Amino acid sequence: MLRAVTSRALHLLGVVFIVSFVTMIMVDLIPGDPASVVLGEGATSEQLDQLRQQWNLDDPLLLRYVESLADLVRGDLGTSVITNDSVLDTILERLPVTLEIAAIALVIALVVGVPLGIWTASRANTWVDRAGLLATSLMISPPAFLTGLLLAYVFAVRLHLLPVTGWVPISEGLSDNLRSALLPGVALSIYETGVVARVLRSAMISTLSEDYVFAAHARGLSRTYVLLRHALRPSLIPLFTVVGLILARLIGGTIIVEVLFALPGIGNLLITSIQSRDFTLLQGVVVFVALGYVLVNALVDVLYTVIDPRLRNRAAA
Amino acid sequence: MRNTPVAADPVSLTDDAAADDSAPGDTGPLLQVDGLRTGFRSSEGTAWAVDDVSFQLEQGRTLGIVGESGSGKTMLARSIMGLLPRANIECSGQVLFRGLRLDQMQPSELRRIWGTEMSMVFQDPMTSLNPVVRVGRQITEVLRAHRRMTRSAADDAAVELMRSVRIPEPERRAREYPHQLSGGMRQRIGIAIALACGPRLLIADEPTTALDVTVQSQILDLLQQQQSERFMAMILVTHDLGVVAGRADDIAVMYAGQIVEQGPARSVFRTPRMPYTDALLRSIPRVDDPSHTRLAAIAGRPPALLDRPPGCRFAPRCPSAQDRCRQDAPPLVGGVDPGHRYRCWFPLGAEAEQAGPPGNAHDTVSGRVPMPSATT
Ligand SMILES: Nc1ncnc2c1ncn2[C@@H]1O[C@H](COP(=O)(O)OP(=O)(O)OP(=O)(O)O)[C@@H](O)[C@H]1O
Ligand code: SF4
Ligand SMILES: [Mg+2]
Repeated sequence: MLRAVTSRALHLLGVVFIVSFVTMIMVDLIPGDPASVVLGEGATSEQLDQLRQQWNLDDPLLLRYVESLADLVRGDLGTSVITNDSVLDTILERLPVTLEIAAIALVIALVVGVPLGIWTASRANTWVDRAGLLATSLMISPPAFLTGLLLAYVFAVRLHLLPVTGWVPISEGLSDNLRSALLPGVALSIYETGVVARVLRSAMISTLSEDYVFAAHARGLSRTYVLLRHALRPSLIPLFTVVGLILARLIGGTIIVEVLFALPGIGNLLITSIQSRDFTLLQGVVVFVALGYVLVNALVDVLYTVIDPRLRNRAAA
Repeated sequence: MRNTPVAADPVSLTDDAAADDSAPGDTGPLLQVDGLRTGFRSSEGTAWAVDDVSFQLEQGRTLGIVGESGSGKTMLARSIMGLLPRANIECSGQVLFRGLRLDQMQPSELRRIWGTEMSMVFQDPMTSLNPVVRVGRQITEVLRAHRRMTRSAADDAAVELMRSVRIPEPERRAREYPHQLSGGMRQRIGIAIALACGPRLLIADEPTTALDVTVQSQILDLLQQQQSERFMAMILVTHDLGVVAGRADDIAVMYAGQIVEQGPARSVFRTPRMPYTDALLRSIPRVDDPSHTRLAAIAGRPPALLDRPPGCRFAPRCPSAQDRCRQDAPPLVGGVDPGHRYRCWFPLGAEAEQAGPPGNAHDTVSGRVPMPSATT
């Protein structure tokens, strides 16, 4: 167990090192000088030099990398070169928005996708299954911005049920907050629902052909019981793999929907930091998202062993 | 008989319609199969895996069904229980179990019989137990579903059952997963599940084929002992006549979907009439044979489902096949011994009573009755 945890922690550190290094190189490759962008057209060369010195921009890349790593390990993501605010604070301030719509999307995907997957698998090759396949392929075809636009048009513009754009924080009332989060959450959930239903369907169909499912039927257990008690759990492994991917996608990939609905989340923060050439902020956001990926993956690995006892010894070894 | 609290007690423990002890079937045989046929539909026609099988099984007795791989034993067992997929399967004939026409029952009615009145032990306990469910729970779920037991009553009953199938430390084992048990222990769990609700008929489909040679006879002995303690009927399916020797009251030999010889075990073992049975007997490995090699494997392979010869299905492999065998299919008819029937135009050791051509004497294995321990 200790070894498993240690190897996880090392993995985490490795990812942080690599991601921060790659981000730094990429930021460095963006044409233009951050100092002149920040100071604007009319800056004198003394001012520029001063700023460049302050940010160690003239140091070799590797040296800057090692310095920023040292900060990173201390949990210090630095301060924004534009606003001078703490990068970590800025991220933490935006995080709840992204997490909330990601959570809404994931909950919808699971609540709708899991029963749909089970149902279509248990009726494989019947019209129920074929209708389900058609529905899920419609869900995974259009890109999120299209579903987002469509939903906004129908529910906000036409029916006036929900606000078109904008964000109401929870502090200003839960129901208004949910109303502002609902459309983006649903827009994000549609694709993921299709993915969840399809993955679970195919996993269940293969589980349903296992000997132990046949044996469970032969013991006179009810169809529903066999489906939920014997076939569902072994089929969750591929589902959890996919949920891990979905979570990762939602943490980092709500960008389009956040921009579309003008939400002050991580995705929008990333866009702003790129547009304003705020390289410390950009680096911080990327490292933060990468950390999220790694943590989600670690969680999924732990969940595997909860589902399948056969994996427990291996995980501990 | 009542060595466990959940042992078969037809009056107090069985539920629903089938519980009526005066059911008409109780006067006749427990199980009566008549003209059972099961086939797979395909573009080239229906392939009959089970082709016109009939037999009877009395309360408390053991029928050994023997045949090579592909002869239709598993399909027969499933057809009897009504455990067939609905798609592309054709099934006809009668299955009468305690007076109930199983072949006419709906799946929902059959579910009340499966696992309670009639249960199955599977070939491979590794694949037939759910790898992610604790073995104790796989026993209790049957009790809870069919007997409406409370959780704690079912837990106690499961431990008792595990004890009765000789699983050491049942309380601890109940909390383990199948992969934590040895093959023999897993099959004991499989047997405990099958016995949980006190069935009247146990169908064991090659229960030892997937097991280590050293535990095979232990499992067979356990089945036999449970069968006599509970006065259950048992169908013991195997490809090895040695497995049923000394354990079955009656034997049915299957070849290419048909029963080719059937009768009391004693009679079939002593005087096999059909050359196929004779060949099977010769292929029993014997314990006193140090090499444990098969004495004589049967040359050739059984015919493909859709490509069966028109006459006797065994003719292409039969050492004593004649022209008549290749043209006309022999019927299943009786000889001198009561209840002993076979499908053969030229039965072994029967030249005197049959109009077979002279010089057709076979070197039968008469008198070489394998001992029950010869189960390797
Ligand atoms: N789904 C299927 N579709 C077509 N043919 C099948 C199917 N399942 C089984 N068969 C055929 O039915 C025949 C009987 O199969 P069955 O499994 O009953 O044989 P068996 O005697 O139990 O053999 P084994 O000793 O290998 O278990 C075989 O020839 C097999 O190829
Ligand atoms: S009928 Fe002929 S071919 Fe068939 S088993 Fe008898 S002797 Fe052999
Ligand atoms: Mg079989």
